[in-house]
Amino acid sequence: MFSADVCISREDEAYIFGEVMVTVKGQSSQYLLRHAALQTQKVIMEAAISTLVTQFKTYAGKDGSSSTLSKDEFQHLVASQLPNYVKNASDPAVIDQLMGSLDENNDGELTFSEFWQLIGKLASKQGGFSQ
Amino acid sequence: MSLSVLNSHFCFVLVSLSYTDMESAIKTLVTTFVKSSRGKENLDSKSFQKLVEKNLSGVMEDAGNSSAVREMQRGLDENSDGKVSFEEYLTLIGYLANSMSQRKTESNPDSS
Repeated sequence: MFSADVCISREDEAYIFGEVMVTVKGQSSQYLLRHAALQTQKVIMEAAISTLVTQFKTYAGKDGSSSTLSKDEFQHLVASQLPNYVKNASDPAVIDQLMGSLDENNDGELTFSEFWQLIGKLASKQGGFSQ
Repeated sequence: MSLSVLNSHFCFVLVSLSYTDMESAIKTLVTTFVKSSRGKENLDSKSFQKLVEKNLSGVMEDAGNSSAVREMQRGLDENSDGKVSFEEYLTLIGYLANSMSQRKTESNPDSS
């Protein structure tokens, strides 16, 4: 299985997923594809946000409070879900340091908001944006 | 007379298949912004309106309401430069994600 991008070449580019470019000439097919692409565009961000929320909850729910991540839960999440973006997640010092930078009130648990700082950092790095 | 059925070209690019759901989701946050900003560091008001309207109508009630979006932009604009930076955009998404997270908790109460 591979991911495919459908990019309609008009003044507004409408992307569906991934990396493939399909250029289709001919009015009706162009319209249909663009319509489908725009519809899909609506759900893409919703799906992405939903994934981030669901994964947080899945790992947060493992023990203790189900709305916050303990250090253990955080380590599991990072090791399983962010292996390409965070290296050495099995190194406790790395987890300690990361958690420390996120845990604003120092209560040893990460709320969704505190955890979101990590998502922000990783996204900025991905996009090549300076923070 | 030649029959041209579809003048199309397919160019398949095999991408890495080893990204997790979460990593792909993070990538989506990035690409959505980058596509709307068309390579610039920031979104101007018009691009921001467009981004919200096209991409966030599933997670936000007034995504199509331009004055509501303008208000929201003002609220996000930490450095008051009239533009939305990637960081300011992420703040918005974080807020939406947090709201979604709380909605999900309300509909699935903890039984502990």
